Amino acid sequence: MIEVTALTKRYGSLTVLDGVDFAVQAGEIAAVVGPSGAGKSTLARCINLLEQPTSGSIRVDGKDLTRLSRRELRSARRAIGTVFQSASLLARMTAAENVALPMRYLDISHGERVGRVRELLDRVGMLHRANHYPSQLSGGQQQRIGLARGLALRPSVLLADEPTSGLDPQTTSSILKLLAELRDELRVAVVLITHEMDVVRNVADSVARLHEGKIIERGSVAEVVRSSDSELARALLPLPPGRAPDHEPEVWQLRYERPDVDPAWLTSVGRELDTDISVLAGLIETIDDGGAAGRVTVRIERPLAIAVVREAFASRGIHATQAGLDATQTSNARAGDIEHEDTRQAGIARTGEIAPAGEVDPEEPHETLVRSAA
Amino acid sequence: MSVLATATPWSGVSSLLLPALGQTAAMVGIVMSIVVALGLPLGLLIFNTSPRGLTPHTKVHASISWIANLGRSLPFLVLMATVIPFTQLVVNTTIGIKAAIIPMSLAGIPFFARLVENAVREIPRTRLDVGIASGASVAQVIRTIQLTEALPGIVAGLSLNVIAMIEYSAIAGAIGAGGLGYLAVNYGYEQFDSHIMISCIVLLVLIVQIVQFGGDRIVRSLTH
Repeated sequence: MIEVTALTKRYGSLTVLDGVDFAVQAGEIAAVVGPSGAGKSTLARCINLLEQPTSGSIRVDGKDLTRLSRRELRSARRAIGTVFQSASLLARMTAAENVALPMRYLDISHGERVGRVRELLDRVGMLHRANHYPSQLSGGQQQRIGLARGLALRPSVLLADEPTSGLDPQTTSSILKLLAELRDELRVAVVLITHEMDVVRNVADSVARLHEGKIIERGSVAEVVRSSDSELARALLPLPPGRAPDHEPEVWQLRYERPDVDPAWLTSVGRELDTDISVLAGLIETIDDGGAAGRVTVRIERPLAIAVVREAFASRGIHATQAGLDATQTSNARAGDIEHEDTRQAGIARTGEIAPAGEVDPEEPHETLVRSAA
Repeated sequence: MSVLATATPWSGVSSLLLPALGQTAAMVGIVMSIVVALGLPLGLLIFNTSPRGLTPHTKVHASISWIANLGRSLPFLVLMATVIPFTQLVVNTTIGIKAAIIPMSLAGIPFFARLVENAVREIPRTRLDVGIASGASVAQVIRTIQLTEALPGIVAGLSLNVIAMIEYSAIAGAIGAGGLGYLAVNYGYEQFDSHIMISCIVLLVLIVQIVQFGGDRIVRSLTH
């Protein structure tokens, strides 16, 4: 496991990280998200000890790695494997040579190296590409090799620094599946640094939001998306941009609070309240714990008492608020800062049943962006 | 010396041309060994002391960078004249092949160092981080990542440098260093010997083409 305590990094008078704390257990994937400039890459460089923190500690399996001499540091690095952004493979080495590289630095015998490289390539499904050069491999294959290399020294912590940036949605999900497999089988603690909310939703157990060098929100992914309307929750489960609902009291924002929400709620609430319900926008997904998470905007077509509507949804595990009564619009705009533009498009493309991202008409987004809400 | 052009008969050209070719080859060969032996480490030092290098050091970087620029700022003929006292000191003569090697090396080392620096600078930073984060020492990162990844660029620089040194060896002909350049100037130009002139030109063009072509082939085979 890894424990980061009061980690601070200053460059001159500029404070990039300001007392960052978090811990990741073995067998857990913890995501750190935040917009560019929040300090994510500095955090990554401090965790894999490429940068010396100004203060604070990084403990791996109880051992503080920040106060070591250069020599001690070199062998202590075994404890932390890093998967870099794509294109970090050495171009003039084959896949197998790339995976073997960290072992060469630490005087691991040739025989042991060969066996270990085979084992690692096999684990990431790349044994048949052992003698290929990176230029002969696809982006996803390269990143599999990168993962195998990160695991070469049997680390107890794996730092994945934007491991899926630049990969297409399908490849991204195959890399994430592999990451989850490695977490479960090797029981490594994975620190996943990313700006892609889809990635967090699909694979992370917990999430922390970094903002101007501080972690300002954190929790398990399920907890965050089901029990709050915070910025992080909205970024993780973004409501596609729709028609401004501010002045329509009959427009409601719904949020799944329980993992076992009955998918037939639309019909059953409509029957109970004897009204039509129109879906204006929505996003419903199965998250990592196997339960559903969702955020939907609906319009109740018959005037009804607020308490009655709220109760009808609450009894089905859905939190309902009148759109005009909260600050949804402004929060959504802010959530957009966190959510990277192409992430949203990637999410759309993956559902497969609606227009490809490129054809989405920006003028009328809520029509095309409605997903499996009905 | 006749004022009229009296060309060496074609049958006699080769007996002048071949020894000159040998002298050029010897000069360029010796100079290039010195250039690689000193220019390669100098180039790595310039890059690695830069802010983007493995061991940034502003003062060291600024001073060696300045020295390297100094060697490249003078026209070769001027440099050759300027360093005559130094040449005298090192090889104890100021004429001939031995004397030409000193200024040629002084011009070639900083040139090659810059080519090496450029080649190494092309390597994305994350590839160096991979080494450091995997527990490599600075020397190991240089050997296994910088030199390995930059090899095609370094070889391309090498052919460029060889061609520049062939050119300089011709200028060094002026201090009696011999070689093809000397032959072209003394027989071809000053004695209006058109056969020697043409032969030298054809041979120099051929050599440069072969070096460039060969260099490009090697670069291609090293690039994956």
